[in-house]
Amino acid sequence: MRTYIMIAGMLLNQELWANPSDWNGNGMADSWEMLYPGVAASAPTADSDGDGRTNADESKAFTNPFDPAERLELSDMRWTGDRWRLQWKTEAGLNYQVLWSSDLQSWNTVGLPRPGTGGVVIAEIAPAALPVGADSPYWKVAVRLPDTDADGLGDAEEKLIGSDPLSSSSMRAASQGGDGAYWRDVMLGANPLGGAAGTASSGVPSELNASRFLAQASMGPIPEEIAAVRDLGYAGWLNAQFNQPVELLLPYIRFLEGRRASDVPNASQLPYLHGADYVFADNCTTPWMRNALWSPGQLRQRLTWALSQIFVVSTQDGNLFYRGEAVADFYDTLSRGAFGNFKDLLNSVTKHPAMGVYLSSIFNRKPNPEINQYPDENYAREIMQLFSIGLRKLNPDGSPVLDANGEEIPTYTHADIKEMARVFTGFRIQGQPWGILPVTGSGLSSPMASDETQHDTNPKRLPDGTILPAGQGVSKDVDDAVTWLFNHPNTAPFISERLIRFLVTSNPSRAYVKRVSDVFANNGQGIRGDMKAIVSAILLDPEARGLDYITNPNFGRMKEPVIRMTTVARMLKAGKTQSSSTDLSGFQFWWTAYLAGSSNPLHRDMEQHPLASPTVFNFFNARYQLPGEVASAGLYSPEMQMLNPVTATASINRWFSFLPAGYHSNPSQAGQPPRNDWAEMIAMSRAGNDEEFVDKINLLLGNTRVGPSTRNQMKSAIQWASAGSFDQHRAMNGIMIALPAPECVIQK
Amino acid sequence: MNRRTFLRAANCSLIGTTSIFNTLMNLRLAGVAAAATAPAEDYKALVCLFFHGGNDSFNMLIPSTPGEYSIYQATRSNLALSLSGPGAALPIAPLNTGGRTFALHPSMPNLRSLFNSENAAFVANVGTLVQPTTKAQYVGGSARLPKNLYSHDDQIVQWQTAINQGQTNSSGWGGRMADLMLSGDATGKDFFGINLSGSSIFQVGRSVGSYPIAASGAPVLDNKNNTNPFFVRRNAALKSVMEQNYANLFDRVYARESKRSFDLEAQFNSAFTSATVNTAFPATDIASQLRAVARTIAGRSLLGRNRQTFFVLIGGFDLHAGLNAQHSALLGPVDGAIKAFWDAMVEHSLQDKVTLFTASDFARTLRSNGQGSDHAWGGNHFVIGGGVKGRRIYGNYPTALTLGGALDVGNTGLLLPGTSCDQYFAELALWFGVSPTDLPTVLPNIGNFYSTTSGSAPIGFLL
Repeated sequence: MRTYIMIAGMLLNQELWANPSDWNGNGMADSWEMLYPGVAASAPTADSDGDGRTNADESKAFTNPFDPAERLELSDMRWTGDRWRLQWKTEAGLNYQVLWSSDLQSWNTVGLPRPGTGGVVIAEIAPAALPVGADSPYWKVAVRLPDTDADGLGDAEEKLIGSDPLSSSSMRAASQGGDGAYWRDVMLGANPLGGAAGTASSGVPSELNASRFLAQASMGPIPEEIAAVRDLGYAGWLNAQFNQPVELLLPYIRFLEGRRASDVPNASQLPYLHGADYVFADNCTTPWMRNALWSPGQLRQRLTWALSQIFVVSTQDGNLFYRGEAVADFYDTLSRGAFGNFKDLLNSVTKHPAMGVYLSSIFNRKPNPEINQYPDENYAREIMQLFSIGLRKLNPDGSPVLDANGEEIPTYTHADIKEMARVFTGFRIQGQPWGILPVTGSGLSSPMASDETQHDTNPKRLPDGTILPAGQGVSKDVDDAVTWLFNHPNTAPFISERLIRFLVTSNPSRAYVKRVSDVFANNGQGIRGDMKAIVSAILLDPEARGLDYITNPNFGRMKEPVIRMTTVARMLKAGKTQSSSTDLSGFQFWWTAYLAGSSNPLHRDMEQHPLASPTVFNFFNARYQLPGEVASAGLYSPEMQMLNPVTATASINRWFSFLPAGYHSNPSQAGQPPRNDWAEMIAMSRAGNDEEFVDKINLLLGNTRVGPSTRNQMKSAIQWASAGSFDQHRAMNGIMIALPAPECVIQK
Repeated sequence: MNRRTFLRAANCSLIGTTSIFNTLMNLRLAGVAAAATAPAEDYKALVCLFFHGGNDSFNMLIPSTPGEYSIYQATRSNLALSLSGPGAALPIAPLNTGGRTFALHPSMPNLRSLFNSENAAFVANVGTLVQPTTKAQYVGGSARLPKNLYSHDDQIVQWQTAINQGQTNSSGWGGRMADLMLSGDATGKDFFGINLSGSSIFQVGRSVGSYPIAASGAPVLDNKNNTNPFFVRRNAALKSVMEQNYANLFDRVYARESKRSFDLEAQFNSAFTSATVNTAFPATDIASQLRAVARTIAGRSLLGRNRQTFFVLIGGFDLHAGLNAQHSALLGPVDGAIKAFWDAMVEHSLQDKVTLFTASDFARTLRSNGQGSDHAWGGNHFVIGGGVKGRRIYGNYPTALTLGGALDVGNTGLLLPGTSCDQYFAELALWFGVSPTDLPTVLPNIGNFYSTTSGSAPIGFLL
């Protein structure tokens, strides 16, 4: 018997079978390239593992191009006495056709194509299957890519991609090209320059990728912004955003302070808006929501929201609750500094009266040993632990530095805190004598002034031995300490990793952290702490823009409840026409209102509420690990500290009431909440293509990543009500299913 | 032999391992449900009352013996409570302090009543420790210390996990008790640890999770039982979405938590609403949490657990400033809430089966920063229950609260604990039914402080 083994790759009846998708045009299958990072950049004719199969051929067989043991071949064949027995390893989603030849010239099929199983298959061929005289055949097996649902994606591809091989429109409406078009959109724009995944070329990002980018960089994607990203490219959009003006909270609070009962549309709201001669700080969430939803400076909105969860002050504090101006101006200080330098941010936060009140550095006095009084350690501790260097020494990639015993190394001791506490002595409110904390006035929105007589003028030793000399005033001591913290090697990885977690993913690779941390240390022009460069590095990193979110099952983060809310509100144009920045006729938005007969206020159901963290540790701990699968894997899921059986159901109930009634903080609240504008959704409903209707919701809430099962549920939900008469209900039903679905809750 | 001693004896003699124990108890519970005249029910609950932010507990329990008080007064400066006049601290006379007298924060008259009626006790100067530690060892760096002392979030976790070697996240000691006690239980592992404070780790075990509820019970999906076809379909669709198997880890665990929320709510709420608690609770947040605990305990027979832990939390104790005024505004509501909770347990004749204990990040510096006090270490805690040998102060309340004194490791009145959290927790765990041999599973460092074969109590306030 003669035998012959030939590699796979010869396609019979080629017109019946799809070629693997190759949107990056490198001659190899896109979906297969996802599995093998690096292969996309190789030549298709290369044989990276030296197993005799080119990378292009391995891509056709969906075998590993970097493992010589994995290649398509007949691993065993023998004559058993009455038949031929052939054996080879298969991949699921491919078909395998056995062929024979007597002359190596003309090849004939024998038997039917066999579906791959992912395991070894055996074909037994009786002599009768071959013509008389063909007693010494050569054998080969050809691999073919079936496309059962004829959507342009082969079955093996769909298994890797996550679409349904048996449905042509499991991820995208058939009228819009179905699953094949979905995959094109995954590929186009999946590199930082906007080009296709696996290339270094620039291009126009697909809507899917633009939406994904905006889920990281804005308060929620909307069609106009998606168009802007596609028009400008990722970097171009960022640069345009850097030039958007700052929008503030303080003007609204000042405006309220000038009002009287007769000015307020609903006088019963006045007790909530006003105390006798001040404005409650919870009013800050009205301009917060107006800006978050409709400021054109969306990147600044998103970044400031993240910064406010690092530099935490809270209206839950008894003193700040009565001082709307201080809280508003603190947030505005973060907004103004978001695209500046981190050092200036840290400095202005340190000197802000809201922070002074929240972490009790205001009116902090030099030691008075005679009566056993020593400086308050609060701010000294938290500026180090939370705002700059963290508790343990870090490498530039964010991993802990370990000592000879494998132990982590603390960044400071309690003695260091006592020294640092002496720096932050002598702060008072500008324009006020020592000890006076007014409820209104410009002192609450000006940097804290100093009272040098209350300042500890002795030398102070910083943790590395640096001495702040005796006799420096408050301002110089604080500036020097902030500068020291800013330049500490920990600050770059510590802050970089926290920002990555807020914007992109809870578990960035060490290499990603290092790339961003390196930019923090030096923006390329010798400048440390350049926030524009840092944010660009985070959002334009290959890990943020590439296909890691598909290939790495641990990629992503739970959207904070606040982001979930702004995302759907932006999709539905909530309050867009009621959002002028400083008037009472616009919408109002409070999170904590308890009015007569109220049920839980919103922040209880969501466990989140802008500017109202329960503690300086924010709503969730950056190193929280959800018990169970997340903790067992040693991974972090910070935002999931807000996820539990209470919030899971309570937040779904909230969506049910928000959609028809607007974003009110409690069911009995008077006043105007931001209300949804359904016109566009109703038009979609009437257009009569429910699959496209699902796509519209999916693009904005799920970045076109809603999977086949949820997609089917959404489509059914839309069809529970009839088009033409219940169009708003059709939209609400689809959105009700999408909003709590994992694909829309988890940002990827 | 009174009933309490009998139950203790039963715990020691009948029960070799916790899994057998639970099998027995589940059989027993089934019997209780079936028979009107059942034997005395074996049920126990531990309630952790957490003071979030670091309670200044050397102003909750102060020395009043004249010499000790004047040291206290000098050390605490403008933070010191007075012993006479308006706002004076409330004197108590413990039975076991050799004539030393003490006083409670003036906003806690009900705690004083419970103390005087021998249903409450204090454990003094408790804190996180790895091993017994002296000031010399602390200063010389020769003892292993808990990681990140004085840091809120680290110390909060360590109080709840009893693991203080730097693990970022693991399991709580309440959760590990649940793991042990439910290890042979095939009926499901829910409703052992009921949590009124979201995602706290105390009750999260390796295989058993906690069950967070709101003070009003478990949230119900709106229109869950509405038979209108729209709601029937909507609810089925939501359920289906949460039951899919998702490839992404976060998709998967989010869906799982949501499904769990849907699945457990009905059973929990049926228990929660089945029993009546007539005792009136004050209209404070902490009282509403303890009322929810009382309601859950009252409805326990429908939850199928004969051991339960509860976790309630009151925040706002990080009083670097405004200590004097704001401490009263926190301890006052606590005092009202624990009184109502005690009354509710008496109402149901469960006061011997339920022990409430306090926990906190840490205590605060004795030294004033002018406006308040800063982060410290060892602090004072109280326990309440019919099982408590009350009107006593356990542990070692320092005889002189001098700055720079024998226990002050910061020269700021930052006290080295005299009793470890492990000892404090071990006493509670043994009472709860953990066997001495299982104690190291619950409290990994306990062997550094207590011999589990000694036969004596770790502290003695319950056993």
